[in-house]
Amino acid sequence: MENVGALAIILSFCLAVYSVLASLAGGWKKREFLIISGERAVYAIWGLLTFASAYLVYALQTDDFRLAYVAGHSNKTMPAIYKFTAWWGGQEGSLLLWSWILSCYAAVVVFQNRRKFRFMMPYVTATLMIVQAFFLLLISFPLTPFEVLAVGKEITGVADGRGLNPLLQYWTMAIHPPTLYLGYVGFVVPFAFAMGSLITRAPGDAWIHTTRRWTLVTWLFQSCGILLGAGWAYAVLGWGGYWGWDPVENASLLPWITGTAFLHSVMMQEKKGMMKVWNMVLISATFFLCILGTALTRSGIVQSVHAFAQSPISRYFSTFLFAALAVVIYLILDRLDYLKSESQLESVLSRESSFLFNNLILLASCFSILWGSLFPVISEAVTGEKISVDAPFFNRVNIPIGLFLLLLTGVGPLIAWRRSSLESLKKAFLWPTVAGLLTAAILFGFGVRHLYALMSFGLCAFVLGTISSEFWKGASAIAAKTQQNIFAAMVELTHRNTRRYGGYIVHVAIVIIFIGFTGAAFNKDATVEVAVNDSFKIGRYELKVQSLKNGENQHYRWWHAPIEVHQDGQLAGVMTPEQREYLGVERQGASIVSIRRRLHEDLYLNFAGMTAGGQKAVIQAYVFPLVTWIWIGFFALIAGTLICLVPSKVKYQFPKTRVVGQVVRSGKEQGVAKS
Amino acid sequence: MLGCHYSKPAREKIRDMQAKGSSDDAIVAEFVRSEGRRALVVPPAEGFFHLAWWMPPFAVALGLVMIYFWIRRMRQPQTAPIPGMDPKVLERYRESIERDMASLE
Repeated sequence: MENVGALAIILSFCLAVYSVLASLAGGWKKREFLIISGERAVYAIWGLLTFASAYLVYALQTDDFRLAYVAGHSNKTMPAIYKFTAWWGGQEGSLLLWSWILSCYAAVVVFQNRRKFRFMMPYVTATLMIVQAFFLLLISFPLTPFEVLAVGKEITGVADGRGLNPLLQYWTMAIHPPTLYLGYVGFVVPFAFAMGSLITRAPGDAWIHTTRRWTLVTWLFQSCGILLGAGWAYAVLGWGGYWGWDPVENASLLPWITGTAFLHSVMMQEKKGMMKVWNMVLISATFFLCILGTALTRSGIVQSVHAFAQSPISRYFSTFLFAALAVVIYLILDRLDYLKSESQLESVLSRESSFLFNNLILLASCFSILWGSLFPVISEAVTGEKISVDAPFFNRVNIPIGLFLLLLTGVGPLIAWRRSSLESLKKAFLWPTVAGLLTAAILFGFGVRHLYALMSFGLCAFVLGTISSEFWKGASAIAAKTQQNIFAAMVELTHRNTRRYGGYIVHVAIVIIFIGFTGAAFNKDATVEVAVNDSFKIGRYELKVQSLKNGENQHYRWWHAPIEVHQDGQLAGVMTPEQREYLGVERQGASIVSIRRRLHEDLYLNFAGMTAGGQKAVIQAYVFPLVTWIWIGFFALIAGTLICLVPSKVKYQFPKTRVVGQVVRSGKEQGVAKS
Repeated sequence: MLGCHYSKPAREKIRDMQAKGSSDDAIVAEFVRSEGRRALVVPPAEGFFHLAWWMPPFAVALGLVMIYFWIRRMRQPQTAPIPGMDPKVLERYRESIERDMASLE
């Protein structure tokens, strides 16, 4: 029985290879039975991987230390929930989760589209199964989660497992990795459809309409995964930040950025038939960055506190990446005629242009993050010297880029499709600009001298101004027509075009998140060694250590330092930062920080250790202004994206400008344009 | 992460040097001497490492150039009527397009 999990994975791998071959042959030779058998293989893979995953979870729950993975990532004292999360706590298990999620997505895609896109589906299935086969190859051979230490019912070699890293035993960490994987893996679906359309030269933009929801849902998962990770870093790691520009954190951000660019530029293709090559490049880049991100976390190419242990799979990933990249580049270059633009850009002052700049800025940000993450590797390869590229580099490069992007978030909605007149732009921008400048001036008057903070708050006010004016204009018209009150009219307006107004709510969420980011300009911190009854000050707070306590339960030993928080001479509460040492084969330590959350600022205490023979506690204290707004923005982002997914009440038509006649270039060269 | 294997001894070393009156620059120089330039949080602005700083603005500039050429190519070209097409029919099409485009969101 110990080998059934491994057997299920190897069978899945064989079926994935079969599905690729059957789908390609069926699509090429137009043999329906081959296509259908390729699709059925997808369902079978889902069944087998569900069984393998269930078996691993069962082994974790029942402390079956005959399996090396269970012995390495679980122990008898861990709570059941963390025994479950140990499924993705290690390299092999997390790859199994990746494969299982992909098999779920593939099964749903094949089932949903089994009667649609018959000409394209074999190639979509083949693309999905190529990726599936690659990941199954990894967990079938070099990194199997079912390596057996002993056979039989009795095991004597391992009395208890090593346990899960205590830092991972936290509620957001229970959902952060699967959420992020749902994002990473989900981008494979629009990529597969893009490849299907490219291979078959499918007429129209069917693949975009089909995958829009997939892309949006995937983007939502990726956003949630990133922000849950930020929340975990803030509450668990004890260094007081939510984003450290670690290579693995960056790896999760890269496909999110290109995915965001794709979600914007794809509108140009839907509405105007433009930027087809660019969209193909963007969705392919998003897919490759997902694979690269997965590789960076697992291969040991870059140093990261989040990475899994070094493993020999980097050459598998690099081979797969280079081979897939070569195929995609060939397909795009070979089918440039199929990707020709259907209409022309009529004015530089148009929504189309603003999307171009939005894409440029997003990609510049993506490139600078990728460049900074890989520069230590490049530097070592070229100069032999490995250097560090840490947060100050990324902040210096990305803060101006981020501010420019924020500006475009406000500018875009006010510029019309096709062309805008300077007069209409003046009218549209007047009040939002006044709001932005006024905000910056008021803050300056109150003593804020941080340039980036002034710019950021000013731009946030500007963007909120533009979005509010959009809602106000639309809702006023509806209210006047239907006699509804303005709030009901806003709901009606949003329902009529959920995609547009849901998108605006996502933009508001981004503004709210930027407000939270900007608060970092005013952070305060202090590290002190304090005995019982000692006091120290940070910001407007006076902190006094009440006592130092310690104890033990069945899972860990703990040390508490209850600290009184005084504000303006009044006791505002007691905070209790804690240190833990988990019981298990490896005595791993962790800090449980104490956070007093308020809308205007958080007070954050970390119990960093004991000194002076246990008489003094080392306390790190931080004041983080506005950080709570990041988490509020997170919920607004979820709400906005969910609204985008609701079907609009009114179906909008988007006529395209087509060139009628013949193109005349230089008076000599003539080519026939599309009509 | 506070209390990690690197942070604790590094903090103690900095505290000791501060107690002895070392300047910030001297402390940084001591870390670079013992650990190499990887002790610095950003690449030094010298030689090959200039690339780290210059590539992001270069990428933005390259993007702007590409956008310029793309816009130039994508601007409405001059069109000549298809032989045999009635100019009135063409005008009607154009007006219809104008009307449709004006109703875009």
